[in-house]
Amino acid sequence: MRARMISLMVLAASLLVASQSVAQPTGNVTFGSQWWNQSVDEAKLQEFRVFPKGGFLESYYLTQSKGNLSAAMWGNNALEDDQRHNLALSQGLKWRLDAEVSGTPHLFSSIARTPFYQTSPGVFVLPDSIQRLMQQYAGSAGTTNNYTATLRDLLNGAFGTPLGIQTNTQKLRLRARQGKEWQFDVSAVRRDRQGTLAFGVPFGIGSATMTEVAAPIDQRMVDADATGVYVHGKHRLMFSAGMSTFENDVNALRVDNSRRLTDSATSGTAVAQVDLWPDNRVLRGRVAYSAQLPKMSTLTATVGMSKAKQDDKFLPFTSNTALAYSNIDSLPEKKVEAEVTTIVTDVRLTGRPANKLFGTLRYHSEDNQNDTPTVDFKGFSPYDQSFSVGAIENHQFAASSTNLGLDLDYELADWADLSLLAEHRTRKHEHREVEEDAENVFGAGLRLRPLDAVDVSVNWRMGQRRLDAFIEEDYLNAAGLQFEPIGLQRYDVGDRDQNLVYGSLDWTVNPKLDVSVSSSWSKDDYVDAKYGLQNADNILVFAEGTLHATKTFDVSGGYGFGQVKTTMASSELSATSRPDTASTMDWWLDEQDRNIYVFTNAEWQVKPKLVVKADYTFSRSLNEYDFSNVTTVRNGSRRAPAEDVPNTFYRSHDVTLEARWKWTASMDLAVQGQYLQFDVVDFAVENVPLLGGSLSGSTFTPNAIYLGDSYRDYTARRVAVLATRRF
Amino acid sequence: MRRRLLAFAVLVACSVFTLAIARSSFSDPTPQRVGSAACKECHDKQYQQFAGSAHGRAEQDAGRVAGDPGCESCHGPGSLHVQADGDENSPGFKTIKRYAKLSAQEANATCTGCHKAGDQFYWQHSAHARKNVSCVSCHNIHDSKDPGHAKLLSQPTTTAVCITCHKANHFALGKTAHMPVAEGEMTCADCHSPHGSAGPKQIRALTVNELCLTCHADKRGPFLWEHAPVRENCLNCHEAHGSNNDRALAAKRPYLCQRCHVATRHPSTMYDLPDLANSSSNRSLNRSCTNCHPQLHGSNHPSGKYFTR
Repeated sequence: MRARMISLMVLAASLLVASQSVAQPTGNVTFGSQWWNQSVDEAKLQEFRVFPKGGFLESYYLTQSKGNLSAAMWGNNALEDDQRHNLALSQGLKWRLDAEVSGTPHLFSSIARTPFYQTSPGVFVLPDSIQRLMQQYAGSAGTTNNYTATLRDLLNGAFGTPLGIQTNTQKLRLRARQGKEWQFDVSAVRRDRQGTLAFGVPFGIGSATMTEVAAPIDQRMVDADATGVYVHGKHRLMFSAGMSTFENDVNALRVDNSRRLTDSATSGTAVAQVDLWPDNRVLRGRVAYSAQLPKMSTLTATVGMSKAKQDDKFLPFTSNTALAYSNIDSLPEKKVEAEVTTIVTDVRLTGRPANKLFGTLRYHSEDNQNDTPTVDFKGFSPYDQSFSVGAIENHQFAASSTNLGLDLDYELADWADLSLLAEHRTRKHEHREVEEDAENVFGAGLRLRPLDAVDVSVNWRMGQRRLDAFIEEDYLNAAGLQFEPIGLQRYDVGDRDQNLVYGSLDWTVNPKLDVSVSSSWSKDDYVDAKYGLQNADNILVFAEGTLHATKTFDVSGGYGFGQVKTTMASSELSATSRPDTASTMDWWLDEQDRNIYVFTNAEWQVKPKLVVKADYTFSRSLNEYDFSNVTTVRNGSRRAPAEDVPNTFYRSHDVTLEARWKWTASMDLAVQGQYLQFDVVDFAVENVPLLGGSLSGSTFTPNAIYLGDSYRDYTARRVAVLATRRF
Repeated sequence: MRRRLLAFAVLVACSVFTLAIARSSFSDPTPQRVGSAACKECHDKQYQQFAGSAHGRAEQDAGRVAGDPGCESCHGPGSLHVQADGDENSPGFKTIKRYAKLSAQEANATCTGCHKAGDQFYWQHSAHARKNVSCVSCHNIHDSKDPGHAKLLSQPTTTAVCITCHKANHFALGKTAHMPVAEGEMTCADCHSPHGSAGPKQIRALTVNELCLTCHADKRGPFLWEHAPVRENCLNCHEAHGSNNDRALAAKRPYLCQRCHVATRHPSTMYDLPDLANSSSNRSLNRSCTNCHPQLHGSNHPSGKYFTR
């Protein structure tokens, strides 16, 4: 049906266009029909795109102008989930209206399964009879195997539930240039996101399970902004105001416990309840002033402020009615007036203080103020299994930062430029173990053009970040017990030495051949971190070239290699003390992530009217996880030393061939063939079972119900015939 | 002999006269405006492309919202170029601005003469201006390749323009977890403003989080229970340009989480091979830590302190 609609639409559009007499004819439409198949139904192929079967409208462009009025309309993939349509209307330079309608699919899985029924958005249930039976098995000694068997039966009968979201976006933008001094820009964007997303709902650690459900997504985001710019001589003033709202139509998940039909104060809840993303709104504004100064200098100052708010109603502490405080009235507040204010200041002075010197002095600050009130709770129930009594309160995490920098570029000669960089960065973190840190960054670069055809650049940068003071008390919980080792310096706030070297070579070897090579190496050392991320080493080499072999044959291609090596340290859990920082309990993970990316394109004009193209893209990533420790202690008892987990591996091939024949001056015909291959080896996301658990001897104890949304190897083939009509 | 002398004198006189005329025509080196119609005589294709573009429509608003319209608004007065009549060796031929021959600074000065507002408000401070990137490196005024010709790009897509120089990001497009840039659903310019901005890395917002939360507004909160590194910077955990880990994370879970959480209850347990071999543990498989802590971006549940609710 869809294919017929598209075909009819294309036909109608073609006839319309063909019969229309336009003053300035220009435009095109590309349409065709396609066949494809896939070896297994793996979502990755269509993660962000749609492969239509049958007729499709690939792209179109229509335009018409009369006098100073102009209209243009273009788009692609009409009637598909990834369609995009644009419309531009303008009247000279005075008015311009742009509109866009687009869709973006994000498919996660087409093989996920679940035994839960969704009775209303976000409410997932199991038959009471099943829950009652399971409760008997789960609550009786020696019946674990019965519980497992029943659960397996239930899962074997699970039905498919697609996982994926679709974001449909509508944009409208009106620009007005009224006179030489004023310009206005008003825009609005609405995004509707719907679909399902895998979401874990934990029922507690130990006796209960984690259950994954296909959480319904039904959200709307609206942004609107208005900007005005006034230009007068050497002065410019910009001011803008805007708002953003987020609405979520599914505010909570309620999921039946596969183990229980009735609530229990000791064995868990019958239904778990999770709060989903609250509605929120933002008001924002910005003022910027820019002035042209002597010596070709420009000073620009910007101040922006935004205020984000959220006041969704709370859910009760727990959905387990057998526990105290399950009533909403036991909460100290029914909602919180959460509020964060962000103030950004940016000042830049760019100019040429001397003949061959170009520089920028810049200052940028971000101040994030969290004004959410503190709420004193009587305790909490993280898994609806029990209620931990004790005063707890929320922390208003916030951060601010400043960056004062100087960039200088000096022309040493016509063929040589020197650039220098100096920056001083400071940051403040509220309620963190590090409240302040500072970093000095220095850099230098040299760009040489020894020949007209050669451009070489080499750059170096180093930074040293140091924290002001480490607050050990921040690693104590409410009871005064230490919950993290003092040697843990988290990588986002810890001391860090950073070095970066990067360079490039662009060389036009001869009129037929261009080559370029770019490379970078960086190393982050977290110098005082005994635990946590220790270092990160990053290498990238990318080479590409274009060969115009003959007048009718071009080929280009590139090869990239990237490697990220990180080392992290941690400490094994001890049954007797926590945290245990004895060196015998330490373990390390050396992780190596290596990537290869290759692409080639070739185009051959076989005949004056026949062009053949070939594209090939290959990417491969290989991650290796090398664990080590010095003892055989594990969970307080003697066990094997740390053992590496299997490597993970992702690889894809994508080959496309196209033959395009220029049938007439206004018509092209083309045939395309494509082959795609995807291979994956990943212990975490490949062959994910529907039932997870731990195996001890011959006894399997379930602890997770998954959706089974695994990654899978696949191959896919596509053949398409296309026609392009120009008019 | 006299006749020869007379002929020679006439020849010299004619030569002097011709030279005088020739000199007089170049005695005034200031070229004058001749109008776009004169340009069209030789550059009809470029004129037609120009006439259908936004620049061409400026003719209609001459003097009101734009300066002097037409070809000469960018290429300069063309009288001497016209007089050269296609002779590239004629001194007048090169009196118009030819952008392929101009320095980036000279070329950009023409464009920024009109494009002062919008993104270009910050152009002078941009990395592109600093590195002498010319407007015409990315834009092709006469023969743009982008569908709709709304941006007058030199390549079919914005992304294709950007990766011409930003090769490392071309490399990132091939990673397993990425933004839908390679698929054409997004472009580099959805997040970055190539013309400059007041934000870091020329992003289209004043802060990194403000930019990310434009499309991921569900993570905006503000939440009752905040996760500090999330509030500070999304890039603490995510690689915006792509990674080989689910959700474009900087490392695989649980190891990413374990970089910061050593002994907070169970995370200190080493999730290595024995853990995988003996159980399909919900701490290693699937989404690992976020199986049970799905609300790690923040929770608004009174019992959501550990992001489980």
